[in-house]
Amino acid sequence: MKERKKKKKKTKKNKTNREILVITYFFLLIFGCFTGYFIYFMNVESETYITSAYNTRQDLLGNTVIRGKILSSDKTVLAETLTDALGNETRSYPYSNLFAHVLGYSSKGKSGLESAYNFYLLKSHVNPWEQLANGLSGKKNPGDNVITTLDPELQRIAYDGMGDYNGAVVVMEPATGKILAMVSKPDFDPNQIDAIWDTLVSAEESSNLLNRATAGMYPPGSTFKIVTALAYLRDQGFSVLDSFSYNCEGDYRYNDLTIRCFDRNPHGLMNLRSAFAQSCNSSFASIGMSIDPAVFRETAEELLFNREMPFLLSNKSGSFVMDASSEPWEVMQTSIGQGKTLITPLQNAMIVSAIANGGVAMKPYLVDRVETAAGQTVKGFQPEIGGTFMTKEEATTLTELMTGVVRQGTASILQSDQYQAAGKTGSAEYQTGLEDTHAWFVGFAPTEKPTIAVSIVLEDAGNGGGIPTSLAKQLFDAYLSR
Amino acid sequence: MILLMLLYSVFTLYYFRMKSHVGRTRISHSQRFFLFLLHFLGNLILYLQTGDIQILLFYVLQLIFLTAYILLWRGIYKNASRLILNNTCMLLCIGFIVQARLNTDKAIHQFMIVVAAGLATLLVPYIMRQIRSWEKGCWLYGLIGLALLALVLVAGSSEYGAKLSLSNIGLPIQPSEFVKISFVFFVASMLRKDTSFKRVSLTTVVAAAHVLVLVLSKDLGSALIFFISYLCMLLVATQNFLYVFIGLLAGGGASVLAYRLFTHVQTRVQVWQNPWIDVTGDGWQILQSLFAIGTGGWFGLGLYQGKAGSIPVAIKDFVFSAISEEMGGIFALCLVFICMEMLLQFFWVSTWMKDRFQKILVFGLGTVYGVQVLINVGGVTKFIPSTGLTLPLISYGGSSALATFLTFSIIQAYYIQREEEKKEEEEEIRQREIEQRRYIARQRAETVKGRSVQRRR
Repeated sequence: MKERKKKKKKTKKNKTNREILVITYFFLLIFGCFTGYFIYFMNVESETYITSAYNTRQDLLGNTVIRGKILSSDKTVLAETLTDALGNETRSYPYSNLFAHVLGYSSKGKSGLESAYNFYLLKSHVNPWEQLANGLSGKKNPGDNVITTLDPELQRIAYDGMGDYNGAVVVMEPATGKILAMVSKPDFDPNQIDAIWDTLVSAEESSNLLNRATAGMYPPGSTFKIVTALAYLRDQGFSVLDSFSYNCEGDYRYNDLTIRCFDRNPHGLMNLRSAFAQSCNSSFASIGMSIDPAVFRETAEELLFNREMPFLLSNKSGSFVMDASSEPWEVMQTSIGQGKTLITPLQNAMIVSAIANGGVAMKPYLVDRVETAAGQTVKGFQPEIGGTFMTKEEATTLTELMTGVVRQGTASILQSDQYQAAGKTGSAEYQTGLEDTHAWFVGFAPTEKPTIAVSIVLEDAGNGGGIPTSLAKQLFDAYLSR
Repeated sequence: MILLMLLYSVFTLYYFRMKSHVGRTRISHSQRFFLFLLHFLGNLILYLQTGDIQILLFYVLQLIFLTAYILLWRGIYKNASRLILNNTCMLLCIGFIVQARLNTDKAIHQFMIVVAAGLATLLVPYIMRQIRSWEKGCWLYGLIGLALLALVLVAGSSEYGAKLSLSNIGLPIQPSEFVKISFVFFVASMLRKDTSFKRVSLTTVVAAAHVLVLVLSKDLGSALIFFISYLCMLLVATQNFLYVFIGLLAGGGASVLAYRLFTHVQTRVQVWQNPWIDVTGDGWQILQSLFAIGTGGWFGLGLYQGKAGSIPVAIKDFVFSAISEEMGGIFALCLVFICMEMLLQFFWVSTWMKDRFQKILVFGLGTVYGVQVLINVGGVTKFIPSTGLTLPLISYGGSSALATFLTFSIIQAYYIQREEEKKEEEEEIRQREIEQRRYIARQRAETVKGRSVQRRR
């Protein structure tokens, strides 16, 4: 408009106006860029700033909003804020200890989902008229509700199945990355957090507040043979499925070093399938010694060892220390998941889910959508690919090996008429010289079209083929009979 | 309030589109209506939140001032630009509200300065008309400007690492705010006729000296303003893109050099790239600002509902973040929009000027204003590295307010002159038309007479 007028003037007389016009456009352009940036910042970037733990403004939102509920996938209330007649608010967790770590707490600092979705819980998207009416009458608006992917039935089975053992269970949907259950023990009652806080924080050994599922660093034990087998296939080709053979006499010797099989039981003549199914340490120590250390390390790091886990709750990722300069002892230990290698139950769940999903690892996630108090969706979260861990062929081959573990191996109690499961057990020594072991099971079912993957570790529970595997069976049975 | 701000900005746009006098009057009236309503609402909220009777008194005083300011301008100078006038009042009104929210004592102090400065600068158009030889002071402007800046460098007191004011020798003023104006006068008078290479070089040396002294005082924001405005004025004066190109190259070289030499420049840039590297240290300011803007969202948390007080220097450099947090992103964006409209209006006025000195002057003052707004809002939103500048008329600061009033009044003065000339021209044209018509009528009459004479014959 203005420019047109200006142009008219320009043609009339003054030549300098052309330059002014150029600079005017230049300024308009910068103002335009700024506006664009501001809109971008508000709509996209601001989230990282708003949700930052350093932002002390989040809690201000609580002055006008009643903290929203956290619901399970079937909309059972897992956490809600109750207001008494005097207007005092208390955060109530109807299932007490059952969802302790995954939900977290919201007083005394914040953790779990309460922390990660704090901002959403404190925002209200009820309709503007209601907000206006509430504002005028001095009532608080109901905050948005967070609908999780958690399945109360599976959570209950996992929780009860762990019994008194410490440890963690992660149940995932391989095709999406949805976490269906996440239990960590020892636990706490989030309803009592204010009262028990001092005891919890001062207790050094048990560390009840730590979510072992995401941040517990465990030696993977024999479950790591999955990684060793994958590295072996990559280093020497698929032909090793037929060509590998080893005569197991109960131990593997290299100079004066010895790796023993479980209970020193001689397994006899092994090929790769039977060595995997029987979890033969001697065979895998010899396999490990033959793999190019660079390939081994690369494979592990592709599975996110020494990398960052794509997960919202505070977590750790596994560590893989071995490299070309490592001593033979360390190589042999690493091959069977001992030594310095450490993993979290969540990462192990992600690895088996990737195998179940044809090699593609989905990002594990806990929240399906955010809804208004009236049930309208505010924001939905879609499954996202976290990375391709392996090729389809490699995934198929590993599935085959893991099926062998159920059919004629250490997880035979998982045999069922209803479905074919695949998995790997582990009994991880966590202290040299101690006979006690952490018991592992990782696996999925049904093999033809996996819909559930589990990762279970129970501290000091002995043999992986025992309690963890039977817990996996309960979970599979319950989920697959629906 | 957001709604009012939106309406106001939209009407500003309409004002540009309206050509008829009547339409503009109507829009100007509705703008003032929104302005006063917004002012009222803002203060009402402040009062309801604090229950402080002082706020009410303060409001009445502000109301009297704003009304008087508008009436005086329109009364004394019939042809004053209503858009500039309204926008000035709008910016003042937002400034009053946000300052009263952040710090009532400082707001009252600022209000007194604003009243004094506002009334004093009413005389500017009159003085500008009386003294017509402004363009002859070229070296004087340059020397005064440099001397003032040098004084700050030598004797100034530091604030946040930059030497800005003379408060330690008893003068609580920031000379750089006024040197901006003297600098524009200098360039405009130097380049008004002679744009030979020699003349341009001389001017550039003095301009570079200004920038250099500012960089040494660590007042990077002002240095940037001088640099960019000089390039823009140079382009308009010489119409030579080559100079600007060379200038940009030199500026680029100089900034790389500055980055290498000064650690405080490096810190600013690093914090801009990633404020998270030092959350509690260097990144603190910008992060607090971003937390504020982000949490406020598009609609804002509401006055006194946020934590605007926790933004560092909220009342001065980071006033934009405080506005955005409590009054909302939409409001803040409208504010930027109003500033941009002001800039456009200034540029527009400069295209009218026939005298080259006046043209470059108005244009230069406009550029200084525009660059300052951009650097401020860009800095606090992490659009560009933050350099620490005030937001004219909204931030707390007497020098800044007075300098901005001066700038606006000078432009207003030329606007009034131009409007008067235009009216005279129109008058002349009308006179000529009337004469012409009379002449034609007379001719016709004569021919008719001639014919009748012929007929008689």
